[in-house]
Amino acid sequence: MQRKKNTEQHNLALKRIGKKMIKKFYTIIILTFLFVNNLTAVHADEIELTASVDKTTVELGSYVRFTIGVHGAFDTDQPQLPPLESFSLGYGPTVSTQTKIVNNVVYVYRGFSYGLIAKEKGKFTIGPITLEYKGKTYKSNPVNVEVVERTPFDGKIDKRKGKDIDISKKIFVELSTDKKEAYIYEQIIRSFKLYFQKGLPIDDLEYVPASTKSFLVEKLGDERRYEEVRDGILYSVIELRTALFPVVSGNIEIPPAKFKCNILIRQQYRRNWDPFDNSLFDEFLGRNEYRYPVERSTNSLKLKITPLPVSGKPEGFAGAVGKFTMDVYAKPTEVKVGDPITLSINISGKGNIQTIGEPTLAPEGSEGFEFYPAEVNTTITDKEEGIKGEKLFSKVIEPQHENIKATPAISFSFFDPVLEKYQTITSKPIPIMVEQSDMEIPIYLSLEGVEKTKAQARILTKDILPIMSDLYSFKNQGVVIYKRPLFMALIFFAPILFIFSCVYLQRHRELLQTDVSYARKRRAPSQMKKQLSNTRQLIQHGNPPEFYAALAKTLTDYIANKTDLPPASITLENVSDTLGNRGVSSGTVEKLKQCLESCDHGRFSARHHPKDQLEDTFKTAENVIKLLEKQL
Amino acid sequence: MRRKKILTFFILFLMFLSGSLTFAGEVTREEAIDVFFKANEEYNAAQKEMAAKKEKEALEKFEHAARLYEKLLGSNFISGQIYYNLGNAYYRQGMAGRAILHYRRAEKLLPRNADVKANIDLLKSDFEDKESMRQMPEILKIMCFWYFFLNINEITTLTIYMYLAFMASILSIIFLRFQWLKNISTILASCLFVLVISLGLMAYNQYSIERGVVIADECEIRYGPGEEYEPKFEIHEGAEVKIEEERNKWYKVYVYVDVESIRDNEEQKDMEFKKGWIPKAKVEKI
Repeated sequence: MQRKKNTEQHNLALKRIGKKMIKKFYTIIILTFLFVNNLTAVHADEIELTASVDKTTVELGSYVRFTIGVHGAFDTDQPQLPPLESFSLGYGPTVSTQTKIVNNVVYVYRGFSYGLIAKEKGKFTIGPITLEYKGKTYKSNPVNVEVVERTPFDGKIDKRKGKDIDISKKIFVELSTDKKEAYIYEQIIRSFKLYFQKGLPIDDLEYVPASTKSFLVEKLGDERRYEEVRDGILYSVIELRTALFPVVSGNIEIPPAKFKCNILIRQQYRRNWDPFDNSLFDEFLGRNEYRYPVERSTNSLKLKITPLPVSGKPEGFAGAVGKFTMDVYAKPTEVKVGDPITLSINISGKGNIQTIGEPTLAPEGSEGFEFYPAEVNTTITDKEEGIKGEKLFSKVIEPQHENIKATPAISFSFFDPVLEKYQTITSKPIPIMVEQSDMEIPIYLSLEGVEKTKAQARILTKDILPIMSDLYSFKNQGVVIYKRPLFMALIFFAPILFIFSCVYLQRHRELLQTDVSYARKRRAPSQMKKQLSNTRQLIQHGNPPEFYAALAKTLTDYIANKTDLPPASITLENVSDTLGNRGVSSGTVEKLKQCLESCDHGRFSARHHPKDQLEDTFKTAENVIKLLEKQL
Repeated sequence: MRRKKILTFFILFLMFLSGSLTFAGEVTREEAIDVFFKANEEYNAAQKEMAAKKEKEALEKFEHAARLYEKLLGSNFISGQIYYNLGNAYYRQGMAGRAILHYRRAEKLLPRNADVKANIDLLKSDFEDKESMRQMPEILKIMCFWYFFLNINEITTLTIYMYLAFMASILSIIFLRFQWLKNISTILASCLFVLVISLGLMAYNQYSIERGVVIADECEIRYGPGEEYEPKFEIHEGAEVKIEEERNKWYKVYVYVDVESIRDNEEQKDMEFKKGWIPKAKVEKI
């Protein structure tokens, strides 16, 4: 019953797991479908075509790698090279693909690289390349390449550097700002760009930003990574952006920013049989990679910071520069005299949100209120395209009489650097309803005097606790089991009994494994029982000869096992001697013989044997075995 | 099948043990309950008489209740409840020493009962002699909770069961090859070890150290076992003592009451000074 229940539970659990698996499977399919849909959406967008070379100056007869990049689709045709008279195609195209997912937007790129061999000296323009895609024709930028005379090889190779590397064009940095002139406190975005030729292995990047003493600085977002073709060469660009808020006016110079990194150069080495040349180990240990240190610094920048105009400066101006909006809410609007109302003033916009001062409350309409200092909470909502955010001023005001109908008006002033003038936003007074307060309930602000009114309860009388009358737990605690000698004897003899039984069992196991005669004798009853039960089944099958044969075998096997003789040696003729010598009574032997005789008879006679007869013989055999069990 | 048989054997054996625990001594539980119930009735009736300011009747009834409790204890029916109630009955008769004596006996059998402790504390606060018995630190009481939570019978029974369980587990590992029992048998062995140690300590504390309570109103502690010796100091009813030696009709005791020290304040000497001889008749062993 229990097993059935368990099986059912198991099946139920399996079903549940199965359902879960199916659900998961569907979810994965749906997600994949959505993802693929998204990708196709990207595919459907317009593509961009770029052309670039790995170097713009090339020696006659040398290779220049020309790459056509298709941005935005994988399913375009292969772009065709324009007829090149001054170059011959060395290899290509080799196709490389790239997929990037940035902020859930998928960028795909496919590059076709050709190795071109310069055949003629001079300045050449490759491209522009054209490509048709979905009925539209796209054009890449042209690339200028100068082919110069081959410089003779002087035979000197720097062993460490392998060969000289012209890295001035492979890696460079730039510092720029989005504007050259700004007002004090106005947001200026400064960007530092590192250009390095695509695929150039660089490591240990270290950026020392330019000193910004005269500015408040706020880092803008994460670094941006993209690719840009400049002078026909494809560069990977890392851009770091910072928002600067000038705090002093005048001509301010931003000193150069510095950048350091190492270019990883895999050294070529000569395989000679110099036993002291450990280049093989170097390679194994990764020491064969040479780090070429590069240091770059940007140009300095000059900015003209203008002070804010004095004319037209509003009274409540507190230094906010940028573009802001203001929202004002009051809660609750229905109060009793003296109850607090929270004015939530939310200033949001673009500019240095951190330094915004508190908006002012209009003096008219402020009488009759009690004011408390505002709680300020600043949140920067966007750091990507300049600092954007909001500043929430929670100001608590308390109306002091019931004639007040509205909150005071709130105004906020800022300087808009785009319009180059001051702006003031004023919120309208918010209507409120003030009721007469209930009767004044005195509030105890301190716990003074409380102790005086409290006192410990006085003990009136000291007395003993009442008697116990629980009859349920009432028992004789004087009589305990361990005080009985028999029990104690049992406790002390138990380990001895345990040990004896252990020894006996161990001995029994050993004999079973080593003494065949012992093992046969011990296993005889169990083997006999098994054979008897098989024989009983033959009665039901109605096969008397087989039944009799099995019964005779059971008897002879049993006697053979008990007497440690081969089963074949137990015959009708010698059984009386065999058993008689072992103290089995003649009556039992006689019964056994009769039983064996009837078995022989049954086996070989063609007469029909009724079922009752078979059962009688079986019972006789059982009785004989029982007798033998006692006597053997 | 074989495993089942062994398991059945152990269960039956444990049932036999627990069953035999309920066997009564010379008085059956029913008879004892009957007497206990009557004694309690008598005590409650006396309490009512006392409230009605009938002091004489109340005293008679308290005496009768105490006799019934004593009779029950005399017939080898030992119970913490009887000792406690008897302590109450003696207290009502104004015999605070005997009350403390029986509360202490009850405390041994009912270590978890708060009422016993409360009554002892109450009586002690009223005694003339100030006692300075060394209290066990609370942290020790928490860490060795079983020692303070169980009485000697319970600890013994628990030890026996733990021993049997340990043996059974060892047997099962050897014969039935229950390898998963190895960790359990280690835990059982550790528990058994702790219990045996606790049992030894408790048995030593209860049987080797004899304690007594002064039942006379007042009593002089003498320098030697006899009236011919000079009295050292005087203690009063309810004061508890540790009996160290017995000679004729005298006990050599160490008193727990604070004694005005006439010598210097060294603790060792103070300990020695608190010892003296007291007539047997004035002290009863707990």
